Amino acid sequence: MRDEDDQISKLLRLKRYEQPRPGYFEDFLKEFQNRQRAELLKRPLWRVMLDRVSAFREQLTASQLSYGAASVAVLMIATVFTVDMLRAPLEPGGPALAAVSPSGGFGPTPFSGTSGAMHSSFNRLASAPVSQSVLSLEEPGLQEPQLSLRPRVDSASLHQPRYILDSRPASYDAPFDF
Amino acid sequence: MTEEAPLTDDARLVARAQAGDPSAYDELVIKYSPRLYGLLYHMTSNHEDTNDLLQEVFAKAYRSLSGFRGKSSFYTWVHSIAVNMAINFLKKRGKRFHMSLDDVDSNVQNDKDFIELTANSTPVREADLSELQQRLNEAMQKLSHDHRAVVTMFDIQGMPHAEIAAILGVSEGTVRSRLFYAHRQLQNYLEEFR
Repeated sequence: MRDEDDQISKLLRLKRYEQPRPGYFEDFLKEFQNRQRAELLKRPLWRVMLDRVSAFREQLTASQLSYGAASVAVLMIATVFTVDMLRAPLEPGGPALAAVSPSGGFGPTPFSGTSGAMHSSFNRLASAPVSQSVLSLEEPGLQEPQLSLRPRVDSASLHQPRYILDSRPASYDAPFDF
Repeated sequence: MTEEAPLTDDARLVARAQAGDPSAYDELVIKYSPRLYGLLYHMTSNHEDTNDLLQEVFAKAYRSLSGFRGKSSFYTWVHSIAVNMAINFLKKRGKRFHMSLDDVDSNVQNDKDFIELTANSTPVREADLSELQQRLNEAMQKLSHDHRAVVTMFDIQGMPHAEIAAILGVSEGTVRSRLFYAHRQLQNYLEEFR
């Protein structure tokens, strides 16, 4: 049995002498290269792009993916924060509003960045009776002001200046005197 | 040449190929095409099928190269691809095929095994070499795909059991048992030479 098995092995080993024609393997490489080029030309563009994206994704490591995800998260937070900041002046309590009280009083406005001169003007104006509708977030104890984006007009305020320009009622401006 | 040197060369070539150097992959093709040709040829016994399969093997290896992480050697990896593709091809081909054999190199006459076998006391002394080749291939085709693979790699290509086990993804014990069974089958098929 052992001898027969040995003979089988020898017979099989002789098969390694079965070889292709001379020069086959040199031609094989050229044929392979031509075939690869032809396949690339035949493949649709979307397939080529898909393969490249797949190859790129396979190359990404876990740390690179984490870094990318963290960067995206930071950008999103920054975007939300920036949008909030830009919207802030338009919302209630913003420093850009100056409400006009029906009684004609002008209370201090919650300007946070008011200059010194403007601030003193407001103080003068504030000496007038302050109605409950004056918008002021810096005056504790006052009732919550009633916000209005448009000047209120009623009979009592008809003779009162409706708009304030440069801290002075517009109607108080002296006419041009040539 | 130690076992480490070829692995290092292959690792360098693979790294260059993965980086986009086509000449590096060409070197791998040149290096491994003879061995892979032998593997595919002895499994299919058809030169034309072998040529097509060999093209497919290297094309698939190239497409999959970016995913090769070096857990095994490139040699083992590409042989695994070749064996799997050959077995899938044989399953599709079925039994309808014709053998298209390569010529036997004239150097066989200098081989000691050939000399021993054709000596007076051996059963094959009267057999024509081409007839012997034909009968061996017929016997090989009667083996199952898995048994044919181990016989090809061990007996024809001279791979050690451990290497075959790594390529096939089985244990060495499985390789040995498949070899034993395959040899018994071949002995039965070649009974008339006794």
